[in-house]
Amino acid sequence: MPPLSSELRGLAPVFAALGDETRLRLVARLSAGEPLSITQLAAGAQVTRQAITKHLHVLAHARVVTGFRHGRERLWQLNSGQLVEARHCLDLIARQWDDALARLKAAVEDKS
Amino acid sequence: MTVSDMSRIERKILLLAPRERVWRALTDIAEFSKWFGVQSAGVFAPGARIEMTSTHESYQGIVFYVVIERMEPPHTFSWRWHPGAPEPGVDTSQEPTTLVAFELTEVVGGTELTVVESGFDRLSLARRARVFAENDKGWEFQLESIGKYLHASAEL
Repeated sequence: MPPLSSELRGLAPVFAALGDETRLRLVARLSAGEPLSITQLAAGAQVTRQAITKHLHVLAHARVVTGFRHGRERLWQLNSGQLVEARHCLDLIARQWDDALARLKAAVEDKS
Repeated sequence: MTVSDMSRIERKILLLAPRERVWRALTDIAEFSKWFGVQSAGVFAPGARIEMTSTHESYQGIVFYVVIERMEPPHTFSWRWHPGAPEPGVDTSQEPTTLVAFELTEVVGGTELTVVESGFDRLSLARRARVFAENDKGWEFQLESIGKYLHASAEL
């Protein structure tokens, strides 16, 4: 069953949050599983700490990441559930395309 | 877990048929309807809004629309639509759309067809606009509360 338009709408902030290279990179860093601080996330990045903070808030708004206090610093961790769900929705749509393309192949290759 | 581009879906398939044959199957509405699994009428042309009724088992009778964007024979055909299965009674007309683009390339022995559905990352624009509107109200409420608080404090 492909996703309903309402399910996609519900996940829209997730897709939007991931439609940015810097944010994708942050998600990739956090996907190792270990919570990281902004300082750690900014290390080696081409953007400022402020920009990283802004991007983390966009991801947090889409519930892709969660921030929590750890001693004197704030750490960020990935909510993989949101990503898995978004991926699942796209996979279901992709499967529909596979089915349609298989029918197209049968139609254009039909020699009869 | 790997993180990949979730703004688009891309599929490639090799069809053992000449490009003109594939182009016809894509853009002749009668031929298209058969393999795509819909009932529809009209003519595909740039700007045309075509109503389609699903003939799939699970979605029998569900109506949706595609708006044709580009039609450049025999290599490019694209449309916009609302992704996902439409729900009866839900108005998505104001929601952003995704773009479905077919590219046909001649290869030895046939045609390579690429289909890309893109713009999933733009789906939330309308939603964001609503969130901002709601946030504005939130701010108004907060300012009002502060006003009341200040007023009450002044009276003490």
